[in-house]
Parts: sequence; structure tokens; C-alpha cells
Amino acid sequence: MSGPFLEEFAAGFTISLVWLTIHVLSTYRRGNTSVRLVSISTISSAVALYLLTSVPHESVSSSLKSLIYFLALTPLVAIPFLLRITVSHSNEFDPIALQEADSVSDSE
Amino acid sequence: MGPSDSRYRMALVIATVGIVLVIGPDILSPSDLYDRFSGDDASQDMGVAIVHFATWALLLAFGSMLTIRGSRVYGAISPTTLFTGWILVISSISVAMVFRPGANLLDPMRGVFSIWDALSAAPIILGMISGLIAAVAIVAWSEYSEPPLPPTPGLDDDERMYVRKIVEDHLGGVN
Repeated sequence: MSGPFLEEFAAGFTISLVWLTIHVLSTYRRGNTSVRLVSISTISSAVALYLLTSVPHESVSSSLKSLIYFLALTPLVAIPFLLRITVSHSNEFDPIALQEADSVSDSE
Repeated sequence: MGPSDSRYRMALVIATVGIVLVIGPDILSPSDLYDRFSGDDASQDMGVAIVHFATWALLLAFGSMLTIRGSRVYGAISPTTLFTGWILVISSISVAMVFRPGANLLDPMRGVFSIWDALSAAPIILGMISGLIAAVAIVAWSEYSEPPLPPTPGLDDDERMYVRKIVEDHLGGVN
């Protein structure tokens, strides 16, 4: 499943730059999003994608499949967080608890 | 309506188009997909890999959501919701690591996740980390190289009423 290191590395690098461009374009706000950021991220992604076209299709496909199978570890990573939430006795977002906290701060 | 709501709608449309483009053709021909899923070359089939990923990712997402909803963090504990959530999370782990695409699909312990699967992704993971560092550098450079923006103007009457309505809706059950 593994191809030459540099080809797979280039595929990963391109994924991150394309992600940045999608994020910048989908959260664009006129006057708030830097035009320079939009330009640089778009140009970087275009250049990275262009350079990636010289990498064999099989190598890119193999890299993506490796990444997808690697992500299978995600549920294991999530378990400690979910266990902590399950055994937690905190109710800090409970509306009743919020109301009680509010009334305490008012009385002070 | 504020700008975040507009962004949210756009993100939903982009996500829907992306998901339909990636798994739509395979979902439309399930019998062909099953044959490929249990074939010898299943682990080399990109469509199969993506559908396998989507399956356990959806189970994990719904399971996590139910686990969080059923826990005490957001109110009274709900054992049924909590139990259902954990069943989905455990199912997600089974699908992701045990029931893997290939000729041994129905013989789960022979398709179990191996350390080689994780190690073979090392180059692309390193590339993604390098790309993220480059992305942070691009963002930092573009922010530092431009003059600071003027202060954001205050809310107008419509926006103020909208925010007030959201706050009142969220506190509606309290008073």
C-alpha cells in the first residue's frame, strides 16, 4: 500500500493546502477576510495540485487509502473523552443549574 | 440574520455536494458495491475504502452525540440514550477495526486492523502536518502584513432584536 515517501508526502501536503483554501473560501466575509490570504491560499493550492499531477495516479490513490485506513484509529482515540463525559457528574449546562447560579450571583 | 448563519448554510451545501459526489455512485448500485466489498481487491478499491470509512464515521458521530446528550453534562442523565450511544460507538470500533473490506469480510477476526496499516500512512500524515504548518504560516503572514481592521460597528436594531430572540428562546424553559 505504501509508495515512494516523497510522493505520499506531497499528497499529504496538498491535502492540507486544499483544506485551507476550502476553509478560507467557505468562511469568506467581505471586509473581514484578508484578500491576501484568499489569494495566497488559492495560488498555493493550485500550484500544489499542479505539481501533484506529475505524481503517478497509483501513488496518490494508495496514499489516500492508507490515510483512510489509518483514520480507523479515531474511535479508539474518542473513547477516553466519551468515558470521561459519561462518568462526569458536572451539570454546568443544565438550565436549572444555570438559573440557580444566576440567582446566587444576583443575591451577591 | 448574522454572518455566521450564512456561513453555516454554505458549509452544509458544500458538505452535501462533497458527500454525494464521493459516495453517491456507490450508494446507487449497492449490489455491485457488496461484490466489490467482499472481493479479493477490496482493500485497493477507493470506493469501498470511502464507504467503509463513511459507515464507521457516521456510527461514531451519532454514537458520540447520543452519549453526550444522555450524560449528565447537559441536564438529567438518560440511561437509554447513553446506552444507545455507547452501542453505536462500540459498533463503530467493530466496523473500523474488525469488519474490514476484503474476502474475509464475514470472518471478522481475519480482517482485524494491524499496526502496518497505521505505519503505512506515516508519509502522508507527515505531509499533512507539514502542510498545516505551512497553512498557519500563510495565515500569520497575511494577518501581520495587513493594517489592522477598524473596530467592528455595533449591532443595528434588527441584529439586536435577533440576538435578543435567540437568548430568550434559550432561556425560555428557565423562567
